[in-house]
Amino acid sequence: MINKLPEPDEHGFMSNIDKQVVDEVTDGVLAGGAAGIEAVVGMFKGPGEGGDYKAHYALHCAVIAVGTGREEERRMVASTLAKCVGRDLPKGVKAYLLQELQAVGTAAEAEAIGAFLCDDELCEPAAAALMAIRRGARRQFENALPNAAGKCKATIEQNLALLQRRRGRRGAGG
Amino acid sequence: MRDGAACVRILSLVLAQQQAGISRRRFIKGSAGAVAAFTIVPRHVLGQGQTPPSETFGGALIGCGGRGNGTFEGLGPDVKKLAICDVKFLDHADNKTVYTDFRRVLERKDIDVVAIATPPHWHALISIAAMEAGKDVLCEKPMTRFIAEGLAVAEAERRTGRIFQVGTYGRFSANRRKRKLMASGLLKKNNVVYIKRGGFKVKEWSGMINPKPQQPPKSLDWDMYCGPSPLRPFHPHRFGGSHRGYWDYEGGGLTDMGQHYFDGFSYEYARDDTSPVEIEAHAPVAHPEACGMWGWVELKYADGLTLVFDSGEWGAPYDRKEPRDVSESDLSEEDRKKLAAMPDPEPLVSFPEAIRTRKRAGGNADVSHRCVCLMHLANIAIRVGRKIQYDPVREQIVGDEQANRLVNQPMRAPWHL
Repeated sequence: MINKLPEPDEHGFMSNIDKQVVDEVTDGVLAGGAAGIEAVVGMFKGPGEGGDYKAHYALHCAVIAVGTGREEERRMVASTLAKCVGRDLPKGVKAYLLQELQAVGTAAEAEAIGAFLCDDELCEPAAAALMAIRRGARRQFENALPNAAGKCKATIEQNLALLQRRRGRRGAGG
Repeated sequence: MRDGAACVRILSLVLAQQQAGISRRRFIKGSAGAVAAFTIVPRHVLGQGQTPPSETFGGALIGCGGRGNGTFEGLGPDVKKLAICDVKFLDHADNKTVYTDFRRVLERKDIDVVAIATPPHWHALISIAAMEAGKDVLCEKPMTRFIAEGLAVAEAERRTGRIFQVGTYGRFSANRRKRKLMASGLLKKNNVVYIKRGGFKVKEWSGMINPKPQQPPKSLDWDMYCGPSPLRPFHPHRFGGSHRGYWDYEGGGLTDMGQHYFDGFSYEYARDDTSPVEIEAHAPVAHPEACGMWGWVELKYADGLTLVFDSGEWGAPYDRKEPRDVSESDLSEEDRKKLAAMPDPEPLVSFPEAIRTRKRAGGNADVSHRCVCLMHLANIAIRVGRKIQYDPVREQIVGDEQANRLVNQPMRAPWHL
């Protein structure tokens, strides 16, 4: 089904895109429920292997489609991504899933995301997802901090400070 | 202390010059080589509003790509380039005149003014750091990459009292008579429809959806280039002008050209302190990393004004409304008299004038933020593929958490707003 999505043009751009086709593919992916989402994730390849751009785009379209007003489907997509990101997948794939969780995740996915805060290659996208979600983020950062080092530690410390600053502003009526 | 000593030295030299009856320009010209290190007295040594004896400002260019020199020229003829900085200078940076890290440039006390011509994902952070370091800033357009950055820059401008101007000048040649009418509050009904058709370079500044990772050039600090944005595998298309096609760094041709097109609009139609409340895009859902095709975006203000971006590059053209402008004939005879009695808008202050007089620049952070928000809001509507509602006071998207996450995007440590 996702093969209907456009091929890149001669520049590598998605210029020959048809909104109706995109919408049909998105509806089809979502109609498959969690299995549909997992099937798309299963098409992802490691960085540099190429050829999985249609799967990337299809997943993103599903994430965006359920962004508002479709709460049950949003929960399904987010929880499926949280499950997938814990599997044995290339780091590049996990980074992409974390990026999508940044758009669609809520506090319910925070723990699954927080599991990557001590991973040198994934702590930054994990932190970005948690900061976008906000609710439940602090606990994940605090839990990870004792085991973090280097870049991950700096990332966690900065985000804890930013959360503290936000809390201070709210407390001050700002 | 060092600056104070330099100041005393230059004042002594100027005094000696005057006693000898030598003109200032001849004096500087004749001794340029010997005094290059101290002919430029930093503005902060003398205090605000004071003109240094050399009447010259020390300047730095941060970001030396295609727009670098053009942006620097916007500083005016009295700014001498003392330093250049770019993350691609790893192979020849000397940390004296050539730098790779803007923070080292901002530490220099002899630099009063910086021109920022990096890709936009660096604009806000460098602008804020520069103003906090006491520098005035001319920042290339677009001012920011996302909405919260603009709020932070505007706050820094107010807090530091520095001069900030975005490097686009549409408002300086805008119709001041229309501005007066639109700002007068006399229009009973605002049914203006302003349509900009074409010129958005949508396809030209798209991103690649399947770039194959490559090794960055040895002269490029790729991690620093990515800076606050996600650290991606290097690909040359993400760098060197074509960065415009990626959400990580800019927002496609819309953001790149939009601040040019709508700077004058924002001024003329008195939109400098507000934003649209409803934004709808005709576009397929955008790729998560690569900017791509869109047809049109309709942005409605609370008072009824409609602004339309029609790309002419994808899908059917915008046909909901016809363009409609405003004129004094929309007013009653009595209101026309009231308008005539009102003062004309103050002339806008150019950047070179602002750094001398300390008057606020015409394209300051507040007004430029509101202008670039038009493009940010349009891009958010394009990215989520649905109509969004915006609160122009709180500067938040209402009722759409996913879209609102694009208003204030997380940054990679150690960078943050």
